[in-house]
Amino acid sequence: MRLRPLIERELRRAFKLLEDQAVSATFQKRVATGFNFGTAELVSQEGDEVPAKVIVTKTTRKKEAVAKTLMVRSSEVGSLSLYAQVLMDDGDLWDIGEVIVDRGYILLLRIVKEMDNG
Amino acid sequence: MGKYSDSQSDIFSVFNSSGWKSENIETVPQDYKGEIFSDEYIRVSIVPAGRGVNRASVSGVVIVDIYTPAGFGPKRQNHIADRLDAYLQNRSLETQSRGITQFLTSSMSPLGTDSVNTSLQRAKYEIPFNFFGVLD
Repeated sequence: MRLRPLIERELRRAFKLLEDQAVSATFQKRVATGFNFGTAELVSQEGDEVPAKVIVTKTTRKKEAVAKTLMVRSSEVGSLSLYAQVLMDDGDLWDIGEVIVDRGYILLLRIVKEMDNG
Repeated sequence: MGKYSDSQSDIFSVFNSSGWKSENIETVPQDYKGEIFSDEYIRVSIVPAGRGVNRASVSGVVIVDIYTPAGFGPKRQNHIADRLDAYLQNRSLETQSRGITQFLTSSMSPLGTDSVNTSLQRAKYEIPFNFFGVLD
């Protein structure tokens, strides 16, 4: 048996076992394809919306922003650019801060949201 | 606007000009993290860190990181630096802002293989500028 399908199957199983820890999220992909020096704005294209189960492993609150560390299966979300966003189960859109770990099968990524101080 | 936005508009207008676009050198600003389609490109940073002659003015340096394929020597990066000189060196810009941006003379430092993308080499092109704003 080839190794990759085996790992993928076991990961699916692990996420299923962690079902009460996993939350639904939707990755809204966006790709920047250039920069317009006339308007000083990014040229970007909206991509697919990809639903995924994610596990929040850490939440950090600071004065102006709250950050979460998410674990997600790579095969579920594919490649992510910094310009993608995540719609979390709180109904808010979070920005992707950075991909902390990419093991090929599992992604650990940090998402951030500005605190509403109003 | 203000002196920082106005000087940025002036400098960006060079890279938005049809002349520069016809050079076919992919150009992105600092902090751009999107896709780059060419194996040679430049990254433009404006550092308005110097004092101006009045409160509406500022001076600084435009730093252009030039990325070209590694292993092919300095010819291409020197050519790109020369093309940058043609558009910037000793030029004065008077665009949408009421101010004037004046560029001085440039310099370039080859920095060798890029530490992030080792298939590329990097050179740093620098050109000081003064932006003279208009006091209201």
